[in-house]
Amino acid sequence: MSSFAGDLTFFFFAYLPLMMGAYISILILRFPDLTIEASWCIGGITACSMVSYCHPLLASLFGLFAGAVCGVLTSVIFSFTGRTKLLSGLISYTILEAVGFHLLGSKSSIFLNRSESMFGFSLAGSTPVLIYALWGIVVTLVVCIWQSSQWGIKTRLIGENPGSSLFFKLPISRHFAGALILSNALVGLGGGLWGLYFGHASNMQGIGLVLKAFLALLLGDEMLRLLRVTKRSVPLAAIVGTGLFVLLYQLTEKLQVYVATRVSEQWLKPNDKQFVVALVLVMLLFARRSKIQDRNSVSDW
Amino acid sequence: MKNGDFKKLRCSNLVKNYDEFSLTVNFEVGKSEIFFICGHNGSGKSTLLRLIGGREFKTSGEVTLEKEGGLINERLHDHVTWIPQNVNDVVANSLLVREIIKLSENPERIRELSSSIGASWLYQILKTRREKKKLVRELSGGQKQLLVGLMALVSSGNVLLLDEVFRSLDDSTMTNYWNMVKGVVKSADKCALVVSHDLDFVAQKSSETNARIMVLRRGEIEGIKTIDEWGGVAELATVAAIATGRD
Repeated sequence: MSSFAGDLTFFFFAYLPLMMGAYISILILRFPDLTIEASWCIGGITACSMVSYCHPLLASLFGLFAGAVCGVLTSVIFSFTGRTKLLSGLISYTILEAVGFHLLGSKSSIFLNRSESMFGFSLAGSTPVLIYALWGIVVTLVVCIWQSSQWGIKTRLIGENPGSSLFFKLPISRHFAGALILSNALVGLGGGLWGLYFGHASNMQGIGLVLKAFLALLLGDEMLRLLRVTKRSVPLAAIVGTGLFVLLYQLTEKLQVYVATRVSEQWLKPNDKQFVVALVLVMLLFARRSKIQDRNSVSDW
Repeated sequence: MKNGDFKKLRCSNLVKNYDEFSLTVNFEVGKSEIFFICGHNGSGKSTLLRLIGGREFKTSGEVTLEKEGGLINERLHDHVTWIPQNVNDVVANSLLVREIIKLSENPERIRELSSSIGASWLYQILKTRREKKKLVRELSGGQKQLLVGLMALVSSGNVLLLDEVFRSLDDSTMTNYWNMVKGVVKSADKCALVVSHDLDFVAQKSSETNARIMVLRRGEIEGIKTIDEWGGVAELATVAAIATGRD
């Protein structure tokens, strides 16, 4: 596998747990959950702290558990603040950021020995990609099964139309809590795996993840609607979105290196990657708007 | 609550005060009874249903459900099924019709009812592979109304609140649906409160069942009588201050 294709595959699977978690909060609950950024960091810090005492597989599960705890905090705040979505995520993020610094103690980040980093295997070759792929498949299956279960259908119903809770006699807070815990657990797992792979975890790794997740999910969702694959949000949107997002990121990176060496370093900067993704999203929205007039989508965001 | 226990719904001195409007009612509806509520716009019909359905806080008074030998002490809104005027308030458009039905208390019964009511579109969705991916968004307003109505009929709630639900149905579906409401209310442990602007409809259906009609005017009860006691639809229209189709 070429290095470009290898990077593409690796980052696709590395981001997949994050995007699947964000899919639940953003596309299903319509909840711009800032906790995601904190769950990713806490998951990474927990997994990297635990890997000295246990197998990396178990350490990554600790990351998942830590993420779930972050989800519990957000859902408790959500219930107590009168179900204010943005505010709950913001408060939870603030609290968890402080918790992250406490977990790190006197250090600013955790660095692992290379031998402990990825399940005891060598970082060279395709083994890490396979492990990530396996996790990616497991996470995707979990989300697909959850989405079509009775619990998932009820959550999707309430997420789209909270007013339906009275007719169906569904407790809103309980369903939001379950979905937020699942969502953040997956993000925590993603953070844990990321930390274990790179052998490094800090409290700053999560910055900008909500934005990335938003862009990727809307990109996937819009693409599926444009191609008329589906008329509603499905987990495939997270898969397609992650793929497109990673592809655009990698291509922009290549382009940036090319432009920097051939033309000027001032033209394209590393931070322009997100700008390119946003630009493509706008183009997709424009294309869909001119093609299909009668559908609503989550891009109502 | 066990089947056969429900006895009546009682609204005792129920008051809801707003800045420029006040609703005060006092009435009861017994088991197996269909009870019509009429009134002009802003007379308090929907507010009353929201109070009974637990969607609005009352200012004072009581809404109670009585069973043989006492009151039902469980949460009131667990026993009340409210179908609002706008069914988009209770469904999610991006769900499959099949998924929504899966959430019903008795999906199998909905299947049976859909064929007996003559709702072939619903029967197709439930029975054929071709239609199984149909989204709620793709249903017409009347189809959504009927879907929600069927789910309400098969629910275990003792009190059905039907807020203008017959308005968007075509004639034959409305007749079938009405017959089903009658059947369910008579045979099960239920009562139904039907809000309607359409006085011709109210007069016709209430005379079929000898149902009582409550007329609300500016938040107060003008009277609770059968259509014969009101003296016919013209008199009812005068009292309720609503124009009928014949005017």
